[in-house]
Amino acid sequence: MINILVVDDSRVIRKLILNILNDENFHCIEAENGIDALEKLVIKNVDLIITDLNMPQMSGLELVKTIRSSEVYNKIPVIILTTEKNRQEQENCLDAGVNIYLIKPLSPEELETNINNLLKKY
Amino acid sequence: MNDFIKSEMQEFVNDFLIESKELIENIDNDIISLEKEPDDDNCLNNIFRAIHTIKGTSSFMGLEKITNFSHELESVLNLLRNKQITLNDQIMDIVLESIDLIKVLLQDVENGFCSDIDTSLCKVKLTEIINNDSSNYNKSNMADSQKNTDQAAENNLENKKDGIDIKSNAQEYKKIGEILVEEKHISKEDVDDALYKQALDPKIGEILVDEGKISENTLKKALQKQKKPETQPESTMRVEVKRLDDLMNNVSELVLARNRLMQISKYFENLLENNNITVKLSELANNFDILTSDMHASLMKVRMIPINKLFNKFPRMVRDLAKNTNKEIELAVFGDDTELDKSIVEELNDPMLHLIRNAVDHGIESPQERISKGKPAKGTITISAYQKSNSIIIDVKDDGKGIDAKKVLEKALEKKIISQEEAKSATNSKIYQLIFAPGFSTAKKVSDISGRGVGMDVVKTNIEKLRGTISTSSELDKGTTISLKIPVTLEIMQALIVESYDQSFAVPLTSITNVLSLNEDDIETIREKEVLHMKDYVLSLVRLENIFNIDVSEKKKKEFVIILDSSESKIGLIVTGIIGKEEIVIKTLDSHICNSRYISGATILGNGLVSLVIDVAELLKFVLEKDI
Repeated sequence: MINILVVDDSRVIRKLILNILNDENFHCIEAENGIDALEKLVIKNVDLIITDLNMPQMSGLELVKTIRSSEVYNKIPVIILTTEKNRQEQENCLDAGVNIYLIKPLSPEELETNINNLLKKY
Repeated sequence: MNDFIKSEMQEFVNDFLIESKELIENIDNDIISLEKEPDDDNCLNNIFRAIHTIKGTSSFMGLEKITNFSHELESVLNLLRNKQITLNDQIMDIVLESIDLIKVLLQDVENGFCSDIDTSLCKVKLTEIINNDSSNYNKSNMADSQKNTDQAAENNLENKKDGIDIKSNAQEYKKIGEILVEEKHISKEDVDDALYKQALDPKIGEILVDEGKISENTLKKALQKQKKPETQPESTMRVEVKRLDDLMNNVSELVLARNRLMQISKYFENLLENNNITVKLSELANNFDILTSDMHASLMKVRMIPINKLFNKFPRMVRDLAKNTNKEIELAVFGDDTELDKSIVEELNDPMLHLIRNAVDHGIESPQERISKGKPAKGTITISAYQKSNSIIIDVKDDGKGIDAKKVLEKALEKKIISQEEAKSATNSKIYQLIFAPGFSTAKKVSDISGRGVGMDVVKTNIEKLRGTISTSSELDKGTTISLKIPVTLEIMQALIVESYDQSFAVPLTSITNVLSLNEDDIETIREKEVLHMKDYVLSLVRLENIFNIDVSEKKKKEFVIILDSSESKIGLIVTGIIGKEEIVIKTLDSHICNSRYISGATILGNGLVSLVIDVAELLKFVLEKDI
């Protein structure tokens, strides 16, 4: 069983992602923003993080920076799933240690392929 | 599309509608605040984020019209956020118009049809702003499209009305035949018979009267009864508050035990992977987690009482005070159904009394004075309460003479509350804060209502005891608004656990606006103080290790800044690590254990260690004092 932490401030987006992934061999944990995600990391084993960028209190980029600087969680692969098409933002994310940058909306197949490819590497 | 996918999609669309409506409702409040304070980045960010979320989610749903339109609006908001354009009335109007249009579009989705609203006109206006071409902007266009939106909104409203009526007819209203049978005026057969005839003529009551089965009077009574559906009597019971308090204490302990259990379960999961017992333990822990949260939430609901228990006293009080002072005052109360923890409502009693007395005594002018200023003779005091995320906001607003910053300053100097030097650089918002200083009173004559110079000081201490904040805004001859922000509950709260050189602290989540990771060269020094340049302001920084004199043997490389916000100011708190978010239970500490004013108590973390809880209000005060 692969545990995936889904971070998005939209309840609907989280539910959609959960719906896509629950068909597969995944178990999803939800978080509303970066700080919430940090809480979930403490109490749950997480194999992969899918996060939005623009969120209240702690953004996706800050979440990535925080976990990349942590000794415990720095190896967890991260997928950004956002509507932000800005080039600079993409580069900032990749510099901070994001593994894959995906732009919403995308097909369920695309998301699954990307997750599976990423998990193969780790 | 097969039916299964269809119904599943419908569920998502419904969720989307609920979420978007909540977001739009919050935006409405933010826009009102933004109109008052155009520089409020927080409001702008909230609006931006809400539109961003609607855009993102609608794109998933394939609701292209909403996606495209909100994209344009988002771009404009982004320009505002980045200060590439400044907010003026014209842009504000277009933003408001756009938000109304999104409401209509959402309503369309809900109704399941596409009305012919034209988004293009409004979109052109947005694009014009984006292209910085708003000077060519045609006024008549605006009026036209406003009409369009209004018309569409109206149409929708009508549709909706029909929808509700039909629904309630079927669900809530008893059928007239049923009522008549129940009251034994006629038999069921008579009704069936009449129902058959009703297929030809739709009014069953009239048929029955015509056939002489019931009198016209009986029909009238039954019809009246039909209009008023029977209401179930409320089933409530009285419970001693102490019992609830005891229960709350136990639940608080349960929350702590839950946190601990979750971490132990995770520890075993890591230690013994795929072990049968570990899996069972983890399942149990998850169950325990959900049950504890549910239990806490339901107990919270039990303890909540509507704030009108407090507000109900005010109309009479204002009337009496107005009479005593020979003033004419109208009191308007909004949001009195807002709910708060019982203990908080009780604690709010004194501060609210003082604020209202003050508004009557110092705010509203005498009728003659008001008329000479061109204002209506009758003054208005407005009290409104509403919830904003985890806090309740209570505004006390009067349309009186406003706070005279000059007079306040003179008085403060006279009473030696501030020094000459400080007075020179004091801004309006700092001057307003002086009103809450101990021993301050500007009333020339001490009246028996207020003006003894203790009131506002008490207000501030009481609100801070509730971990709340006060902000004041005022305009001369226009009026004053005093705004209280109070957390919904006291005992259990969400906190961010941070670390400063191996010592952990808990920071209440309600006061955190942002968390950033720092690079060493981000920090600059101005007049020997560390600051951080943000997009459009300078943030003063304080180091947690300096405040608590923590031993810094080896400087840590990685640092984070937590941006704390009260209504008056913002500061950045530098910490060396972020551990995570946790639900904590505050235990107050005796003064012989802890005498630091920046600590509001202690809590036990999930890992079993004790962590100190930072008193953000006190900390901000400390930094502000240093600043003056």
